[in-house]
Amino acid sequence: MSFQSQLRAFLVGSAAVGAALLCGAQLSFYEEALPGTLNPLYAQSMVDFRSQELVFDRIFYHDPIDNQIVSRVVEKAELAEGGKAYRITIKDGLRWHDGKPLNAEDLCFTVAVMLDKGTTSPIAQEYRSVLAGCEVESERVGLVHFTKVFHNPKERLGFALLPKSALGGKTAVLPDADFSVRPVGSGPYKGGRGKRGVSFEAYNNGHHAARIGQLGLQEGGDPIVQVNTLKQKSAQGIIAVPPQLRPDVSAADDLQLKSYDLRSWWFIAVNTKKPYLADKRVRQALDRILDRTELRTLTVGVKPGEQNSPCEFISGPFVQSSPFYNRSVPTRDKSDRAAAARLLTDAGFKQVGGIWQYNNAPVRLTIGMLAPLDREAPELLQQISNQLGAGGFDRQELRVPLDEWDRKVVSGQATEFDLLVGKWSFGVVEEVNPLFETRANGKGARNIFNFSSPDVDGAVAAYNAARTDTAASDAYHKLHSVLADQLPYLFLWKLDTKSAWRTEVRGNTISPYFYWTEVDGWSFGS
Amino acid sequence: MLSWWWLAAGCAGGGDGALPPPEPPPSASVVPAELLAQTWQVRLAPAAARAPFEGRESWMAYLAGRRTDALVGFRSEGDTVALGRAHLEMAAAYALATQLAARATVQVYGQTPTEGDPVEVSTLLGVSGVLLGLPELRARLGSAPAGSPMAEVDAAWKGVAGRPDAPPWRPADVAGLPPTPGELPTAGAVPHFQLAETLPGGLVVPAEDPGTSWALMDWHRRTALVAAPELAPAAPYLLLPWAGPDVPEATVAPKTLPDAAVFLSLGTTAADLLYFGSVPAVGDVDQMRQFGTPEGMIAASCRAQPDFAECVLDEAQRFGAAIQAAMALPEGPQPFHRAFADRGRVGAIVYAAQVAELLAGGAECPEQADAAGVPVVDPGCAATAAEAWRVPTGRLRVAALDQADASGLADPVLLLWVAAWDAGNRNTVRATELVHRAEAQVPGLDAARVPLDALHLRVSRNAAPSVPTH
Repeated sequence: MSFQSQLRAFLVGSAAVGAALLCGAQLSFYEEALPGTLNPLYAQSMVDFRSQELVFDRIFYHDPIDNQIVSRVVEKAELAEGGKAYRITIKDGLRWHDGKPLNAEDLCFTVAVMLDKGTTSPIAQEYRSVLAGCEVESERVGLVHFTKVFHNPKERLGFALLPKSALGGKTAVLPDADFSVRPVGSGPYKGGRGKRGVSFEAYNNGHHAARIGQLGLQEGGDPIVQVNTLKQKSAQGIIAVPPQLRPDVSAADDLQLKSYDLRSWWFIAVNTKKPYLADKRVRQALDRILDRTELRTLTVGVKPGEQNSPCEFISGPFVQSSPFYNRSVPTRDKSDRAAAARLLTDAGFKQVGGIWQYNNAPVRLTIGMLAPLDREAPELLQQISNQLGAGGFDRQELRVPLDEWDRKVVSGQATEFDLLVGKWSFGVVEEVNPLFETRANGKGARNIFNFSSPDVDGAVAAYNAARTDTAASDAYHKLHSVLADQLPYLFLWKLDTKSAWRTEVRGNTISPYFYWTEVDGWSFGS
Repeated sequence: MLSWWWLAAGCAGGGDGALPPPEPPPSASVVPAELLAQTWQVRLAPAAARAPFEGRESWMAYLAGRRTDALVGFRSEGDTVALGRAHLEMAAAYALATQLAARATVQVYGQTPTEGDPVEVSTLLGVSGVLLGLPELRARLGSAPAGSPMAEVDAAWKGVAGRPDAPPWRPADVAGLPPTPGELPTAGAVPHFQLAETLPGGLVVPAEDPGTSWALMDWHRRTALVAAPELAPAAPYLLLPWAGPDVPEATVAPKTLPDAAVFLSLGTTAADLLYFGSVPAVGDVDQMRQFGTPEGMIAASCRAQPDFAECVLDEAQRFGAAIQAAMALPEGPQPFHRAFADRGRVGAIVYAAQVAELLAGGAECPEQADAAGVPVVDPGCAATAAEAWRVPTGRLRVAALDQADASGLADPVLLLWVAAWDAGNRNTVRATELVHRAEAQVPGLDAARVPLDALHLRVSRNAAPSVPTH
């Protein structure tokens, strides 16, 4: 019996343990992690966005079939005031999950929340350049004002409606409230977050009629266990299947592998505030110590030269298929330790007993990784550490739980780390300004190590000032080039996301980015 | 000879090399045994039947998705039919690239023009109008200023009435290439145009005429018939599903195709391939049985079901399982059976999607004469049909892509088929990714990427605010 068969046999028992956790839910699925919050203002992770999509309605959204902009809550919408306002009529008979009616008061309340500076939401902050206010004209009619004329106002109203009554009418909404755990939405499901999972109960509304009564979200553990649980019919879906297990899913006639359109790329952020990492030559050396081909083979399972790989190297903060990607900046697929050694020597490092020293002290790199990434790329943290070790650095590795990543890393407070391995995901908007701009006055809100560079700030400013698409593209090409030189990030790869669902789950259209937008049409039966 | 297919088909298996016997399908496929026996998978299952294809680098490359290597291999092996087929498939890819480029151009400059767009976008829109059969856009030709980089293009296309048999203008580095079987011309130095923005201090916009992809399509179509003149009667039918409106049709479709034209294709029989995307493809079950199209039978059997797409997905799985079971009869199950059967699964979904698209286009609506006496589809019926078949068409396209990915089937025609549809729907996230994947196998696809990139930039910069998320 091969090793893989033995492993499978052993893990069937483990799957039974996993199954026990999922008993009671009508349709159960594994997520990358538990959501940090169900409040749509404070979504930090893709898990948050996906979970919130079950509970809330976005005013307008894109139909996943043909990308048309549609709405479940708007009966009628028309331009007003020369295009600087949009008169919206809410459908009659809609209700919040607490039974209260959903009307224009809630629409204007939501706009007021987005505009209130007491709402410390990065999402709301982005909308403040778009929204100017809202007036209730009648019970179901609200007039939304914009900061300027937009030719496509529906595109600017892609945020979730919030309940005025449940939030006490207070427009400064903070992240820590009870609402984050037990939200009141108008979406197809009521949700409540527990310690080990999230349960969603269908709420039949005038505009939703979900056919699956209950959904159970569990944090996925060992991916092999997840797949076995799926095969045993004790769970029905896995949101993100690691590449190594996709052939296993494909080979099973009662499982389907489905695409989930998301642009995600992986990186190693470098703490440029540490004196031994401040010199860009050191970061360039680290970049040359890494052997991405080996990392990818050992952790993602892609063989060199493999056609149609789901994992493609990148040299900057975009995926290669994006027009923002600067194709003149080559990727660094293999290590070059000789070049790395020259750079470190030039930067004043000395190698003593095979270990690099800075200012006569050995450099010990503290490397962290967003913990859930371990499931998509097992042992990545260890392999990166091994390569840096072979390159002459002492290291320690730590996995960073999702809540700590949300709380400390994204806010620039994880200063004890030297390197952090993470992933960023994007939809159609690929703006990377918050990742690299100097953190000040609301800018650089996701600048992990508070990196600051006038050249980067200049390229970002050029992007913001761009009046044409060409100017914006040129600015981001420049940004890509600057980042590839200064390396506040060591850019790794993009990795496609695929979900696995049992074939008994029918009509399971997966929406790009938000995933569950069409869950009303999902059904579950033989 | 020991079959080497299992080496190439490793992506289809998930395990340790030990093969369980294929499980019987939970319920029988609608495709009867006599039609299953006509599929290339079943006919070529015995080693002796498959011998002409065994041990050839060209077919191994084809199975692995390396289409350009396969094409070159067919030339070196002297297999003229396979070479002609490969050129026709490249023509199909470029036909879809043309649609993608034209639709993207219409979306970015026609639907969402922006201050600063170069004046020459009228020419780009005009050419797109010719290629897509949109007379209101075709009327934009003739407005390129004298001395403009696109003046020659504009004048050449302005003289075209309907969609031409051959492009009236080609870039210098594509023009004049003699049809040489086994060659793979590129689009030359892309982008061919740098157009000045109209804002003061404006930059130059890279631009590409959608006709460049059309020129490559035309080259491969002609070259296919140089390589394999016997494919001439079949060629228009084989291209029809991919080439969009107004493709000239042969008067009578041939009934058979050589095995080299069918082997490893998504169509399981010659009839499947020949009737993809044509009105007979919308027929009933008996008609499809008569034509000998298993995939047509699947689509026809699901027509009356309340959920056409779900029915097709179920039937496609049963079809694949039935193919595998039938393949295993003569010599027992083999590792490559799954990879071969998967082509049938994907093909059935694609065929049904084409049927849904025909129905969405009003294929079964009555015609009535307009004011000029020209027969047009009844608009009320057409609108109803379009809405009724919109969702099944889209779901099946995506399902075909998912099934192909799950099967490791990297067919650039399939990728571009979905991407071209996405471009028309402004769905640039998936479209750009699919084009990127297909580029390695379709030299010159960068020409179509130019307007798609422009569309993505425009969509991205005008979308709702968003922040990077982990």
